Amino acid sequence: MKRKSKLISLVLTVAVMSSMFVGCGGKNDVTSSDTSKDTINLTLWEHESNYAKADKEVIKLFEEKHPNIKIEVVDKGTQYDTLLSTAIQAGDAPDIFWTNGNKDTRLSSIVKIGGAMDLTDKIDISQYDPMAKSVLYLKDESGNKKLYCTPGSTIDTRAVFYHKDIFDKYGIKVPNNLAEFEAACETLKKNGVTPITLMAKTSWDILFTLEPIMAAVAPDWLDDAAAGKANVNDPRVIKAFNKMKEWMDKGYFSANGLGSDGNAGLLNFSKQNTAMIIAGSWVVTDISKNNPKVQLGAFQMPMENNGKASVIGYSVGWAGYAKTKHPEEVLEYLKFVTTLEAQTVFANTLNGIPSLKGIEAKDQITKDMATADKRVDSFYSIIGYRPKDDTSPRKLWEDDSTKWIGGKMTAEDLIKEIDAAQDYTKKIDN
Amino acid sequence: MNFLKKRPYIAFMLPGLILYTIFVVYPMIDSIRYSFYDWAGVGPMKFIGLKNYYKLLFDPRTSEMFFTAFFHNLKYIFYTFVIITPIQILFAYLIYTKIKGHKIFQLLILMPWVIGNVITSFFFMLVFDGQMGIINDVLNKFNMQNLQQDWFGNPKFSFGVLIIAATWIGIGYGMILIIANMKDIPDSIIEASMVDGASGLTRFFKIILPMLWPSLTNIIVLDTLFGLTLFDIPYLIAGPNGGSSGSMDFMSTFFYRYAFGSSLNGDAAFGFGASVSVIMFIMIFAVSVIQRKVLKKLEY
Repeated sequence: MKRKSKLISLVLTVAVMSSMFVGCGGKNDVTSSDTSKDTINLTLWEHESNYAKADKEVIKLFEEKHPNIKIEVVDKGTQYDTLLSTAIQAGDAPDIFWTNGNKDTRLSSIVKIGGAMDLTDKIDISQYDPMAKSVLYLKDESGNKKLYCTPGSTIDTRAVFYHKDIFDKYGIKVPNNLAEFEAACETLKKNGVTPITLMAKTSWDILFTLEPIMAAVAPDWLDDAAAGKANVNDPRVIKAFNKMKEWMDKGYFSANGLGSDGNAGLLNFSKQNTAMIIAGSWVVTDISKNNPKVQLGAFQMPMENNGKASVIGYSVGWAGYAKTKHPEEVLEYLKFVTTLEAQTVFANTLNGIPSLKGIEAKDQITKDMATADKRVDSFYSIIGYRPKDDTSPRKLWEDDSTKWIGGKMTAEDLIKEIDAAQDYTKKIDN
Repeated sequence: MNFLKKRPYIAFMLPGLILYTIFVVYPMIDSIRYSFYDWAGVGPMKFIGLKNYYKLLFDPRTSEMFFTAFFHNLKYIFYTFVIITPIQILFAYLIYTKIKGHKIFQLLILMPWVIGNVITSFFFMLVFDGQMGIINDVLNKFNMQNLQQDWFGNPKFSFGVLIIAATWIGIGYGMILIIANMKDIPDSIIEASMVDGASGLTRFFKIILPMLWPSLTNIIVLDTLFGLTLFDIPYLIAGPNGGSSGSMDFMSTFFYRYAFGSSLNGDAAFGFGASVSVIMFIMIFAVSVIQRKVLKKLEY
């Protein structure tokens, strides 16, 4: 009996111990590719659900042409960067992964440990705009430009989204200059309609509202600064910051929005609590999901002297894992995603503004977002082009922008702080 | 074999201890090593000595943010002791005295704790959001627009709302500990006090409350640890930057945004994050030692 109970204890101990190893990953984990018979299975990691949806449409086309290659898309969500770093460090990365190119330092870190496939001279990107290509290249030790990722299909921008029915009700037309925009806000206010949703919980929410205002008020500074001819501490920048605060004081923005994030802001706008919202071009799908009956229009922020200015950022595509078991198939896919056919499907699924010439925007909203007389660089990008060593001006913006919008810091102080983190002796390599 | 036979508990402890050492202790020790490097989590590691610690403790900007976050942790602990613990004792007493409907009452109190911090914090965002929240919506319907506030966006209110959320989430577990302690009080003592003519209040303050010391000690220690390592509630409500003007920034959210970078174009700094975690460990250890000494002195 004693022996039997000892045996039972031993079996239970082993069973309990084995259960602790269950969570340690295994062959079912969708990071490793495998081959079954003649089919090659690849994995693609994506950072956001709308992108993942668009990936699947592109993959459908690819798989029609390559029936022996199957690609599974895994959306890793907000923890994407951390999960990808861990997977690459562990040597268990997906075959293909989304990347931000040289817009941040993550891809270059991956390249330094031999994690990304060298695509230099292997992929044809000659049909892409120089600005679209400028966000792709990394420099090697000799200073040569190397390619480790594909271009993206879309141009990200910010726009003013509005309810067409509210505008029609009060006889408001899409404004052609800033004065008309402010007059429209006054009309809405007089009729008891809050003109614009404010969302200012995070530095991103603030940025995506501020940048179009800056494009309208100080487009020449954005051009000068992007070319390395203007400092951050410039009266034009202060004017743009103060314009946003002026609109808050005038009641053009919704009250009680300092603690609202993008989701709350979008819901607020979708429910027609406000007439307009200034946000990134990627929110169109979310607005339609929130309110399928919405009569949505969009326009770029009008400038002081007529015409519309659009803040743009070229998106980046995907990279291949250097240690993938199927480098040829991965390269085949990466070549395919740069084609006009793939880019068209991706841009249209995402409702994004196409970055490649020859792609027509599918719907009116996208066409309206793409309509601008002037394209300017993003303030956030510009402040990060020439940082002092061991500083991060972008981090300063992330840390202190909520203090500025909440009134704990003046625009002058915030701009001085960001300016002090610049090294104006460096050249901007665009 | 004789050794294990005489000490069978070692055989039971060993597998768990080995796994704990590999997955918890070793990474903790390794993070001390990372703190001496400039490392983004992927890519080459560059040895920089004590630079991360210098930046954290002496750089005017970073140290101010870190110590402000630490102050928020201490403030949170203070409110926990002053608001949440008395409410836990009160509710525990009501359930102990079996008021009408005490079982349903207990279930409702425990529900937020069981549901979990993430869902409850999300619910609080829906309730208190300045534009879409239920509170402001109800105030609007009753024509009390003057009472509407930017609950999360105004630093005057944001910390208070966080405490309300923490109260609602945190009452349950402490209440359970106190109820268990109350049930351990011998009935004979309670009956004797009733025979002696002690009123309900006297009974509570003179007999029951002093005898709750064991559970209160546990609650104080646990609340201090939770307060110093608080992450999920402020992260969900305020985001990684600590909300409006950093009014809801805590040490863990400070660590998170520096270690992992922001979600867009941010640069991860695992080395710096590791130095934050080491300093946090030292601070938590120091607070725990002081607290243990104080609690031992107060024990009778």
